[in-house]
Amino acid sequence: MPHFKLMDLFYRLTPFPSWKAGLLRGHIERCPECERRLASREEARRVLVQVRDVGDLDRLWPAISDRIRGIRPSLEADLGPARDGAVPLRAGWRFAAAAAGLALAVLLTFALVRFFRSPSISGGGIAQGETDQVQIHYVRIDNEPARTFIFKPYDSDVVIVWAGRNI
Amino acid sequence: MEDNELVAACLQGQGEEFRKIMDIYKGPVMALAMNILGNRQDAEDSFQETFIQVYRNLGRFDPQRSFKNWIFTILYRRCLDQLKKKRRFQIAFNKAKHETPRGTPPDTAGAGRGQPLSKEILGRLNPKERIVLTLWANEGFTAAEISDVLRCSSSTARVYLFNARKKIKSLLEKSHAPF
Repeated sequence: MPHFKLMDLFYRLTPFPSWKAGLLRGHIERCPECERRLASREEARRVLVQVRDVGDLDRLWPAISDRIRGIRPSLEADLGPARDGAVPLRAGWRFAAAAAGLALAVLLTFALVRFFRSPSISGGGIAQGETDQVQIHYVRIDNEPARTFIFKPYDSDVVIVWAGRNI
Repeated sequence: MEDNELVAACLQGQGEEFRKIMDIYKGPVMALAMNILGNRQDAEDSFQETFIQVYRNLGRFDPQRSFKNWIFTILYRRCLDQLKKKRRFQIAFNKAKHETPRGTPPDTAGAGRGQPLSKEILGRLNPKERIVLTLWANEGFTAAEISDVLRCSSSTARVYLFNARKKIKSLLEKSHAPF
């Protein structure tokens, strides 16, 4: 996987803006290879309207002048409604999603490790007689003869058979 | 004359000084409005509303803060209002027309030549990414200065900027890719 795509994947998986910014500051903005995958100022200017492109704006002054006539600059701030209220909620959802994703990843990894590391055990059958005796003819692990132990706890009907590789 | 002196003169009732403020900032404000809104008519409306609001609120301007950033903050909020109104109108219009405007061909012809950002690029960038990109590319702002305009953390500004730069790069590469 190309370097930047890998970093971009890390970036996408990072849940919080502060962590993302840490990744940007710590690597992406300093790495020449990553920097090449981002638009430079020059490239961005090519698609943006520049000050020199805006044309004549003096014709807008009369309308502004008419509207501010008679208005006294106020001491009351009126900068529009605050829009930052939604941010904590979104951050909360992100945190929940990240935590759930992490838990799922841990469970999957655990399940996969268990699946691939558990050796195949084949046994020759357990013969149980009338005298409560347990006999095992042979046990093989990965087609190799294995050591076996049989436990029968006192006062219990449970028989535990333990098989281990011969080292 | 410094910004703070112009503001003080306006507050003392010298309304004509406000014209000087407008003359200083009209270019960057209009360019920013056009880049956010992608439409000259809407940009002019936001431009006028912004300067009227700047005048109204001059008394609350904090001289410790950058005057330019303060104007940009007001403009940014006016633009968001404008976009919200437009979205509402578009929804109502589409309902009335029973169709959505989809499949329009990409329009990159006018970009950078006095025309607003192309619809294709606007569609790829959200308003915050557009303003962040414009402040960074046109005004040379850092993440900290951008965060002062957007009133967010510099981490958030940095993230918006990264997303915008990545999208623009990918768009430029696609537009130059051989067919």
